[in-house]
Amino acid sequence: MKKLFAILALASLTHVAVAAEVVGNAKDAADKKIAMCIGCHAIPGYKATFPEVYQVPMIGGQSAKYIESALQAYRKGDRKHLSMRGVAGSLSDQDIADLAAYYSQQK
Amino acid sequence: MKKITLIATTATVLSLLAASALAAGNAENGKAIVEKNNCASCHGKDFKSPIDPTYPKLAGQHADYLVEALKGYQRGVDGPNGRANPTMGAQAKALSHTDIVDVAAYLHSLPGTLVLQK
Repeated sequence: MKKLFAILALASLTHVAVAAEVVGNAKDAADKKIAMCIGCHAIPGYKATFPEVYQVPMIGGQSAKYIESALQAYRKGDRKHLSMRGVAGSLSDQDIADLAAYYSQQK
Repeated sequence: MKKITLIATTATVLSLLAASALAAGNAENGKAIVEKNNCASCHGKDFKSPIDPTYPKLAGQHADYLVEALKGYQRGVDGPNGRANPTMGAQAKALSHTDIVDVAAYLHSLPGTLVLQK
């Protein structure tokens, strides 16, 4: 019985560890989540227009960790940009990880 | 009258040329600034292999976006479209507008691995 408890305890610890790590799934992003991104980031030469005019960045091929940190910064307000704040504000940690996986795999 | 038109046309052409030269930036000067500020120590010596995966690859990125990003760091998070980042804030604040445009031109000129895809 004691052994069973030990196993259960171990199993639940492992479960917590798995839950803490958000693993990105590129396919989930491709199926449901890139709709908000492609209207700007998939159009060659597309420019943001406020307050300054510039081409939106190429994000394909950036590393997943950088894309995650950029999206988290927009969500938190460490990077200010109206449309990116709106988009990032609607994303969960899992959404961010999925999108990061998706765009980091492009080449 | 013809002379005035000619002068006006020449002036317009010249100012357009000047404007496009400014917008394009001086990549050679940008290279010197990038080396002086040791940007490669974080962003990688080819600017497409940063030393930490949370840092962006810069080689080949659109120059006008790089200008906007650097100006955002320069303005700081309280400025319009500002960015909070102590390291990049300090780096960008040391640069003039022309420096930023030149740095962007240089980084854009490097062969990179970034892509624009759906």
